[in-house]
Amino acid sequence: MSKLLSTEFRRLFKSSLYKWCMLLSGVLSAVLIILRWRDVCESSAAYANLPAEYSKADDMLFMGSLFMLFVIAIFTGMFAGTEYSDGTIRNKLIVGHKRSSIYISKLVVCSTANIILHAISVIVAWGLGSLLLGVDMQYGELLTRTCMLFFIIISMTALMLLFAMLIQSKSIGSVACLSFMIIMILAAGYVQNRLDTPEYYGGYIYVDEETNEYIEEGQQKNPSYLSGKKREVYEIVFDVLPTGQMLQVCYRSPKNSIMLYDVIILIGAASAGIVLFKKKNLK
Amino acid sequence: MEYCLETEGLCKYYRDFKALDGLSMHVPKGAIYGFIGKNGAGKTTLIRLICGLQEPTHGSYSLYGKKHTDTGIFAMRRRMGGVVETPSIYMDMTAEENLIQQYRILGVPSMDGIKELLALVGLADTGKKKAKHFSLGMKQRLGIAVALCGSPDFLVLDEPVNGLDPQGIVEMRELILKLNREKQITVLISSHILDELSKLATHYGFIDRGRLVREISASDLEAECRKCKRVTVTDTKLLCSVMDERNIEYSIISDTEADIYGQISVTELVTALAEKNCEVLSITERGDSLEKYYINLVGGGDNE
Repeated sequence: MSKLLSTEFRRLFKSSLYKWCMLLSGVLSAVLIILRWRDVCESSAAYANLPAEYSKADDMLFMGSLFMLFVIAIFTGMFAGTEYSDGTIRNKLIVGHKRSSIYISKLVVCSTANIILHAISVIVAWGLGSLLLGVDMQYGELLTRTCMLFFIIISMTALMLLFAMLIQSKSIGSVACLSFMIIMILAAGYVQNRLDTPEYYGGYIYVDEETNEYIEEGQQKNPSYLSGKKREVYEIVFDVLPTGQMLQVCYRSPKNSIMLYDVIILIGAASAGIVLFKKKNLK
Repeated sequence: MEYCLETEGLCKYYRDFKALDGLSMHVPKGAIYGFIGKNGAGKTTLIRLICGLQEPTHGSYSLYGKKHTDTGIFAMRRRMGGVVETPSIYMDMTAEENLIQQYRILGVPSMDGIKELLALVGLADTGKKKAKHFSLGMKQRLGIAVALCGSPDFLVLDEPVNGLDPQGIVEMRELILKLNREKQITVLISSHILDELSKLATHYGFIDRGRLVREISASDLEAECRKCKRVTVTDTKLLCSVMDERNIEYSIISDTEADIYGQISVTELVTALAEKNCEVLSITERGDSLEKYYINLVGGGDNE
C-alpha cells in the first residue's frame, strides 16, 4: 500500500491539472472576498444600516469551497480516469498489487488532494478576508467548521471515486461525477428551500377602495410549510447529503452529527467501490 | 519440464459468449512462446486473465506453480511484466518519469537501472519529451521498458508489433530476442502476424474459438513443416542406395515414393538413378509455412 501511495502522491504533485486546480481554488476565493470588499466600499452607506456581520468576511470563508465542489467532481473523475485512459492501472495489477489496495490508495490520495484544494480556499479567504473586511469568527469555530468541511470533502470524494473507478472511460467517468455532483447540489438547494419556507405569511395592511378603510390582515398559515414527520425527513436528508452539509457549514450552524453521517457515507461508498472494483473485468 | 505458466481448463464467459472454452496451455521456462490465433480467438482474454485484470469463470492457471486462487499468486506476479493491448504509460510524463513511477509501484529503492533500461529499449535520448509526443514504436518500447522494471522473469506481450512500421518491427524482434537470450526472460507473445512470430518463437500455441488447438515446439513444428522433395520412382531401394552414397537425409513413404530433405540437384539425382536403372516418375516440392500449418490446423475455410 505504501508503494502505491508514494506513486500516487508523486503523480498528484506532478499533475498540471492539479496545479491548475490549486491556482483556481486560491484565485476563486480571493475574487469572492475582493468582490464583497468592493461592494462594501461602494455601498458603505447601505452596509452601515445593516448589522455588522454583513460587512465582515465570516460568511465568505467557506463560499469558495461551495464552488470548488465542481472542481472536486472533475478532478477526481479525471485523476482516477487517467489510470484507465493511459492503461496504467494494469501495471499495478500485473505486478501483484491487490485491487483493494489500489482503490484505497486512490481514495487516500484524492481525499488529500481535495482537502488541500479546500484548505487553500479557506486559508486565502481567511487571510484576505481578515485583511480587507475583518473576521469575527472565533478560531475555535473556524477550526470546527474547517474540520467538518474536511469530513464532507472525504465523503464526497468517496462518492465521486465510486463513479470514477467503476466507469472505464475518463471522459464518461468525469461527466458522471460532475452530473452526480450537480444533482446533489440541486437536491440540497431544494431541501434547503423547503426547510426555509416560513410557517406563516407575514401580516399586511391594505386600503379598501370602496370604503377607504384600512384593513389589517393577520399572519396566515403557509400551506407549503413542512411540519411534523415530513420536516424531520427533510432535515435528515439535509444533514445526510454532503452538499446539504456544505450549505450548513457555509451559512448555518452545522450539527456535529454531520461528521458521523460522513463517516457512514465514506465506509458505505468505499466498501461498495472495493467490492464492485474487485469484480470488475478490466481491459 | 518447468513451466512459467500453466492453464487448466480455463474458461471465460461474457454473458453467453465463451471467450475461452477450457483452454489448457503450458509455457516452458526460457521459451519465447508464440500464441497464435485470429482476431477474437481469445488471445487477449487469456492475457487479461493471467495478468490479473479479469477472473476466470472456470478452470485455473498457475504462475511458477502457484495457483491463481492461492494468496501466493501476488508474490509470483512480482516476477511478471506485461504489455496488454496498448502500452500502459502515463502520457503526460517523460520516459524516465514513467520508469520512476513503475519503480515506485514495485517498491524498488534505487533508481539506478533506469538509464540502462531506457538504453536497452532505445529511448535513452528522449530527454524531456512527454510520452504523448512519442511515435507508436517509441510508446511500444516504453511500454516494454515499464514491463521490464524490477527485472521480471516472465514477460507477456500482446500484439507487440501491431501498428509498427517495418523498421519498428525489426527493432521489436531484436529487442525480444535480446531479452530472451541475454536476460533469460521467458516471453509469451500473442500475435496473428505469423511470419514475424516464426522468426522468434521457440514454442507455439494455436488458439481457435477459445480452445488451444495445438501446442508444439518450434523444432517439432519445423520437422512437420520441413521442406522436402517428394520423389516418385520405380524402385525406392535403388533411391536409398543413391541417397546413402551421398549421405543425404530422406524418408521412404512407399515402394515408389520417398521424401528427400537434403540438397541435391534434380539433374544429379536423375542421372544417378538412371545409372542404376531406376526411372524418376515425378518430383514435387513439399513443405508448409507456419501460415499454411495454421490454416490447416484451424480449418482455413471455416475461419475466413
